[in-house]
Amino acid sequence: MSETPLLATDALSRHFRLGGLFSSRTLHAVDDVDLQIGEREIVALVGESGSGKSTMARLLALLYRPTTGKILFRGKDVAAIRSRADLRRYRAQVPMVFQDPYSSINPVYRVSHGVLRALALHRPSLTRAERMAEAERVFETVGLTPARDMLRKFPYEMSGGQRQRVGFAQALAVNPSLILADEPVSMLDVSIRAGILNLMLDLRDRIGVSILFITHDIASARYVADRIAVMYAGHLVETGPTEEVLANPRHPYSQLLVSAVPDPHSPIDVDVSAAAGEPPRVIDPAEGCRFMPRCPLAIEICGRVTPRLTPMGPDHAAACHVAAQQVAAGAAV
Amino acid sequence: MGNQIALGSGQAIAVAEQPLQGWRDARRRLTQAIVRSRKAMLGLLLIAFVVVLSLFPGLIAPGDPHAAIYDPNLGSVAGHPFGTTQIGEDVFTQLVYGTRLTLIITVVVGLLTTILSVIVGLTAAYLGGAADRVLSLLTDVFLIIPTLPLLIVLSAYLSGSGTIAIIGVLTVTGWAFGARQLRAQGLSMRTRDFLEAARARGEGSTYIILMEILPNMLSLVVATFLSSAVYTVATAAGLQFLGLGNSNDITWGTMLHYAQQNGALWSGNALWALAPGGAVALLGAAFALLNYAFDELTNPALRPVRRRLLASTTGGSRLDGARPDPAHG
Amino acid sequence: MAEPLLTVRGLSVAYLAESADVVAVDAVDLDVADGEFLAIVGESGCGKSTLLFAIAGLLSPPAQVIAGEIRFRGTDMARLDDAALRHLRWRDFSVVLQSAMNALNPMKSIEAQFGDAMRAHLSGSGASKAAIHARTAEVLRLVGIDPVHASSYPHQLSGGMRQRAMIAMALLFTPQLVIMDEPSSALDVVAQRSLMRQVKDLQQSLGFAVVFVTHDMSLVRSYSDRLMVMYAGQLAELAPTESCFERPLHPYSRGLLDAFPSIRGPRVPLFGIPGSPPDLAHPPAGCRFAPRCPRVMDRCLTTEPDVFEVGASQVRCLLYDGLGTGAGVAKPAGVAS
Repeated sequence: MSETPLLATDALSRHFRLGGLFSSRTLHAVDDVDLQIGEREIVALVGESGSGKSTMARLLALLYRPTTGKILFRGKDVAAIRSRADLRRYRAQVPMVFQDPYSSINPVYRVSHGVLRALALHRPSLTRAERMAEAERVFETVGLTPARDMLRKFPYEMSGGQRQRVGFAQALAVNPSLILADEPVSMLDVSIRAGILNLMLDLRDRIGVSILFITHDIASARYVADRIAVMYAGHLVETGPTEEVLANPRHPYSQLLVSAVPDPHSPIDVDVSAAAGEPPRVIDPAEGCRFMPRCPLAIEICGRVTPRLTPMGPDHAAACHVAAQQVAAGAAV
Repeated sequence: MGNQIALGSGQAIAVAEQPLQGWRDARRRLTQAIVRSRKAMLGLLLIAFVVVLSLFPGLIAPGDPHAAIYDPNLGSVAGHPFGTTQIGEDVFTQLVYGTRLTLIITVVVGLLTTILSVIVGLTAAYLGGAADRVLSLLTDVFLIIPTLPLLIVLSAYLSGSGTIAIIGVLTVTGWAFGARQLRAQGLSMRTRDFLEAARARGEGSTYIILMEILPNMLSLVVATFLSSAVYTVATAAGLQFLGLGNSNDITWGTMLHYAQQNGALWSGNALWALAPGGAVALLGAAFALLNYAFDELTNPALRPVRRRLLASTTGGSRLDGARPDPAHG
Repeated sequence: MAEPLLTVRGLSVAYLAESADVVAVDAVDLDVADGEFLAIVGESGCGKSTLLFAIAGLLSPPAQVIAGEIRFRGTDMARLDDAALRHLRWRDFSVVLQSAMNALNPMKSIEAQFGDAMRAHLSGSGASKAAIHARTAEVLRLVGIDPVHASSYPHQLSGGMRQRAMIAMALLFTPQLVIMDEPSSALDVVAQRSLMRQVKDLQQSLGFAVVFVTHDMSLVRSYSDRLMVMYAGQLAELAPTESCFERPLHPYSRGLLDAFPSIRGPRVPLFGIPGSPPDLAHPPAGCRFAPRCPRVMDRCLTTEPDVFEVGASQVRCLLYDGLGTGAGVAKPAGVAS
């Protein structure tokens, strides 16, 4: 990428100390992640539970501070922010939408509460009337019409899909550059998901906002994302344009994921019996590839050296020694 | 738990009422529930009666409670339904006039302990970490201290300062239990995403505690207040009975004190002791009734079982059961 | 025609409430043959889990069966008392629940829990220590768990393994029917696939029937023989799996299928099914799907559709009543053949 990406992380890590005061065991939730998100693009961060993707969201939202590494927003390291004012400004640029529509809205207030508070905090120059007008505007943008009536409803009067739209409205109210969407459709019924997925596409096209779409569902990632990044056990193992990564996954885990996803439209049954095991909880890890115990292609170096993201093609990178060797040898996959 | 199984995979059918949503809805449902519950109505009526008495004592008991003009040590006779004291005051009049101070002490201590409990409990729950440890330690210390000896010692030091001392002492010894409960419920709320969403929005801790968490815990706060009221009614009377507190005030507790001092129970003047004692019990019971009723309102599982007979092809099985838990729709 | 293993006729289950009873399952007819894999698919609130619990006899107040019968090999289960039901349970049919991963007793080893189950249902030498040990090892091997884990505690096993252990427990007595309620929803995609494969293999080798409830249609495509789609407490479509995927008859099934983004093939716009399911406390007149149906006709709003037979499928949809658009035999389905 020639120009500065909207958001880029540099060796971002987040560790949690386990056990009591005197324990020295650390959980490596996110380790050494270099992720880029550009303007007007939707990037899907894909991984299973325990892969670190939710922790990534919270790091980027500055709900957690990084253990090491940088978060560069328009080139400036925001992880180093100390002043409240700067933090607030960042929050207005990078808001977050949460996973559970049933617990992410305060039940005692009307749904306008969050939007109005966000406006009061981040756009304080607006008058009360202007705030209401803005609230109506964002509600209409996300499809909650008639906006005036919708704003007066309580959460329990709304369906899961509608509540999730409220979440997006809250994020839009502050005129963001990047929306962090943490599994926004995972708790919605399948028939409702399309609406939210289409909303995200619409927001990218009409408003020009970028979205980090965190999910475990590759199929919906494929539907909305321009680029896809795959996480496993705290590491970023593959990144690239969505179609490219799904058509030619280079990392063995990506290959496994892509083949395991059930597709109701194509009755291919793939044998996944070789993939015994589960993603590890990464506690005090040693050097070496974390996928190795499950990898059918593992070679000697995989146990010694942690693979880094290596270019596999234009804008397509994977962290795998075997794949790197294939590229180096000029061999076709 | 049984209902959990019956409702199956996570997404419950929106069968039961929704949880309390919004102020108007809460008010409406509160009034409905109170009207429907015998306990609540009884408690509310008793308290209303006591409040009226305290505001307008002259309505029911014309006369001066301090006026020692009657024949002393009368039992229940015409004109003196509860008799007279050792020095000829009318017990009934004293009882009625004593209501005011008793009620004031109860309400003030109730409010103060509740406010303290909320501040300590919620702050500990929300901030967590070192702040939580310190505040919890503080709470535990006050919980463990044996109340009565502390009360007596403090009151002895403060004797002569009367009502204020009693209020202070009861507040200091009474806030810890509520703080524990509020902290526990506050902790259970930490998993609710809307708190994290508020943080992500940029809200400060104080705002989150007061405006996001507290409104969701109103039922527990009210219950804390009501429990504290029950505790205070009895304990304040007890302290005054022991002679700690201003003996010149007329409260139910001081009446008990003087009745005891003058051996009312054995000298044929039992009502002098029984009347204020009964009044204490009644007021305490009124708050307790309201507390039960409030519990039932907010926790449907506690509601009285309503039996329904159902004819079915399975041979008419009788259905007993608690009402379902509130489900999120 | 062999008698079906499980027969459900006109089953209705309601949640009794003071204001209005909610009929969560409305007059459902169902047959499960020996060795058949039946998937029940639907979204939240459609009644699939309630139906499952009713069949398994696990309903508790305020839920109650208000109409219909459930026959297992001819025995009316609803008429059985607790003792008789318990005898049937686990020996002839067993249940694996969604929360199975957390249903294992954390204080007991796997073998101890299997032993409990065996002692509860067997007597004498069948429940001796040796027999328990042998059988435990056997079923663990069946589900692909090394028998050395028999002495492990649940927390020492991974999520996927716990789920398999629950399935092993369900197989202790080689039941004829295993009922599963979304057993894989907490697992990652790879583990899910693996589990489905395992269940299918076991089914084929041991010959038991499976009733599998899920919200994810795509999961069961290569595994189930027949698929039942539920909507708002009613049967919407019951068809051989491939028919349902290739040529869904009910507009809801079609909509559901179209709502899944595809990972292979061209990228097409998704539409989903806007709107929400009806409030079952006050169900609408006419067809319950009408407000959201892209092919709604005038009479759909007033006439409640019967279940019609179309080839090997059953559909509850007026498109197939022979009066208007839609082909099919205009014969309300009575007793399934």
